[in-house]
Amino acid sequence: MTNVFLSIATLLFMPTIALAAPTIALQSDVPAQFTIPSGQFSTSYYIDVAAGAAQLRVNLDNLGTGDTDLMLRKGTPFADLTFGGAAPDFDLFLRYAHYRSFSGRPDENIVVQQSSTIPLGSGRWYVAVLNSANSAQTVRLTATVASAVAPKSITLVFNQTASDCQTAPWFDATVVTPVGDNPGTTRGEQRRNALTRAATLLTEQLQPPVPIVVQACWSAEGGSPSTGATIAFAGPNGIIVDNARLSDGSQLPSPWLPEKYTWYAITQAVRLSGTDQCSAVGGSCSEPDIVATFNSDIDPPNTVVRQPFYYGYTSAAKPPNTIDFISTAMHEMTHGLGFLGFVSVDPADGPIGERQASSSGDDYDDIFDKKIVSVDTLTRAFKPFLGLNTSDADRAAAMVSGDGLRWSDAEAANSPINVNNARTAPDNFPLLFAPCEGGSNGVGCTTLPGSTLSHTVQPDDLMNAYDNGMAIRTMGLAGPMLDAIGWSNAAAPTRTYTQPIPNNWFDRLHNGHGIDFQLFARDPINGDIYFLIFYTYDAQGKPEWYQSAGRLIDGVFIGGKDANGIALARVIYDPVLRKSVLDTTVQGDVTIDFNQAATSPTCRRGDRGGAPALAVMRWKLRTESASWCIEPAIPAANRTTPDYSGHWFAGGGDAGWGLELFTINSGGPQPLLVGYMYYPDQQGNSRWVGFPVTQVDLANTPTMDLNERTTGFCRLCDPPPGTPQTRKVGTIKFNLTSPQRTDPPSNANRVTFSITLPEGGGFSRQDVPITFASQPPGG
Amino acid sequence: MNSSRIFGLAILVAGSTTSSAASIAPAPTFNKLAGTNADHVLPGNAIQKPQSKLAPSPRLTEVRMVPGADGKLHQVCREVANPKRERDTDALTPQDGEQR
Repeated sequence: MTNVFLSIATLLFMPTIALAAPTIALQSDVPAQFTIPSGQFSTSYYIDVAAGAAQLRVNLDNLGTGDTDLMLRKGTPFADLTFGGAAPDFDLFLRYAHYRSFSGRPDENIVVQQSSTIPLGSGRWYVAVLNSANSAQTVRLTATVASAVAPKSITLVFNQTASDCQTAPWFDATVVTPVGDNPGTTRGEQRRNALTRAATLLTEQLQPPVPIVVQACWSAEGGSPSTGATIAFAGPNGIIVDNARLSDGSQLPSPWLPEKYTWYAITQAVRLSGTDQCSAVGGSCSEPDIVATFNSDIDPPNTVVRQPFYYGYTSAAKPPNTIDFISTAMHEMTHGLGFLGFVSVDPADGPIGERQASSSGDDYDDIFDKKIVSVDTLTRAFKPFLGLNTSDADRAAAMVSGDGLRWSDAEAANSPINVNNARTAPDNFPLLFAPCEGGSNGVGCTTLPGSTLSHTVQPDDLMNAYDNGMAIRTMGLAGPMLDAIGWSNAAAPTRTYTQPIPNNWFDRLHNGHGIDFQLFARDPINGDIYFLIFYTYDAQGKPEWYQSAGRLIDGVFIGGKDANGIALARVIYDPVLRKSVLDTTVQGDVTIDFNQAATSPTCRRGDRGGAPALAVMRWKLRTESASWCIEPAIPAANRTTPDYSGHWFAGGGDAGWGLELFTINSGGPQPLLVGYMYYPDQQGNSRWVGFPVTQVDLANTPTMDLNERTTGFCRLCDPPPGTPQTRKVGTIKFNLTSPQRTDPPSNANRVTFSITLPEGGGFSRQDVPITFASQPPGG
Repeated sequence: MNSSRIFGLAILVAGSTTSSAASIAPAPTFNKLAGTNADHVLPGNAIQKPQSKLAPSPRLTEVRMVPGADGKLHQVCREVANPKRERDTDALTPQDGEQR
């Protein structure tokens, strides 16, 4: 099989390519050593994990210095060829990988636990090892299954100096007296001890499976008793969303983020990825996950607010008029762990209530704010703070409502830590800080930039916006709240993916273009096989179509690239051969993601109300590319029994044209028939026409008009105003008696059509047998 | 070849995958990666692979001592814009719709 794009018909006749056939079972903790050539990969290894296992750790130790990478996939294997029969590229491995470790370093490692997004569970885990280096690398691959989990620590880096990160205060040699069980005898040692204590307390309560790295800094921020002072500041060292495309256009899926199209702090992403930051998302391996900075002017000799830091571990020895360093550090690092909403609370950042935008301008939800509800303070009715029907203004109102901003996740609501856990919803939802500044009763209020939204209200809670001076040593509500946004160590549910509906799909914002998306065959091992016809218009507005075939992997259709790198193909008809051949001058690519599409920026553009399903289709043709939000045109419930809906063709002996048909219940004795026909014009170019919804006797339909749209519009344009115009270019008539797939087709189903284009040429067949190219419905 | 033969072949391949996976082979097999692109290959690498920095966090949090109406200093935490955000232009860029 060298070319799957010969014609629609030949899509059917693709020998199923043998995919990855892992042959070597790794034994727990027994390394496999091998040398992998430059620019090559191996999918030979797998490991079977028994029920009850707590952790799988896979290490790739490179005995050389080149860049090797490691990927893991549960349940079904990686592809060692594209669906088009070509060598896979790095991106295809990224699409298949459930977990990855692909830093620029030689060594890689991945940890999977029962709490991971794609949970450990029992079953087979497939391993891919890739050598990106320009020389062969000898590596040692070790998979270790453990019955218990050893948590990793929140790791502090005290010596990573930068222009905005002074580290000398961590090593201040001023002699001090040990205080509150902190045994340090220099100020620097006490500072390091206290921050380590804060990190240890968070580690004990969170028990992260991978290290979280904190860059610890000081900065002279000044201050005075009259104006106050900054004590400390911190935050996650970046944010990530599972919709990222890199500057070179390649996609970087992050399937270990539970929610697509949603911002996560990098700390959450690292915890969920099972590896470290640069292994999970690329980039420099010296980047910390959190940067925490403390004001060195708080301490002597400047003591700018006359309240120095207290570095003791215990509260008993804390003198009055001191600032408890450990609780301050715990509070700030907890923000860095993702206790931080990204909805705008400051007019300087944009309209209050606006969701966080990416640099491309698209707004995304964030995982913290997704757990919040907006409560009507009078009726106590509540709705999601980031719901599709919640506006920026609704969010702005909630954030000055006093008691209308609440954390709705059950773990925190039911926690014994929550003082309101015995109340009924929504009053048992922990209250978040939503003060009415400068007004009263919700009138004339402004948010309190910074404090609003990302703090609790419960007294003496670590994440209360106001520090009560106590030496707090527990995370309080932040424990169960962080659990809900990526830090839980409880077993996660089995990951599920959306199954597409074979149908005619279209984007409301580009109505007139569409996708004939059809199932060809189920394949539970390597992924179900689908094919599509993308019917659209050329630069002159003439109808044209492109085709693709590929597999559905975790709810994503991946167009299979051929050796030319083409996954969405233009074909040219050869009337002598009676089939089409690939036009290698047109580059194309297509993926369709059926998962969680409703929250994508693409689908949030325009009204998608009433859509039975949504998907995000990314396509690329020549230099054009776009993301479209597509939905099925014909609800499955409206189909007939028997159902003739699907893609039809005349068999391999008469390839290069086909039909997309739908039979729809009319409520009467005869069904409705509607469809498109894909055919070649005189030059062999791909053209399409439609025929209108007609109530018919399928066994002997009337002769129906074939109409071509004359108001075609470019793929990147808005639809033209007014009613679409068409012209009649031919007629078509069917005799359909049995929805079956056989090749050559039997005489059970036949078609007669004749197309004559005004500019010359045409295409016709007289009473030729046809058969399903797609899998017959219910088959 | 008809479609049922194709489907049969698919089952055959699936079956052979399962059976071969059950046996232990002494050495792994290797296949070539596609996608070498000189414009995007890292130094020392033969293969293009994604590498990127993160998008900077839009906000940090800051604990401050703030003078209160009672004349005392109160400790309050607030969010502040991340000063690194404006500086960092080489960010991981989610582009859900590069064109619409």
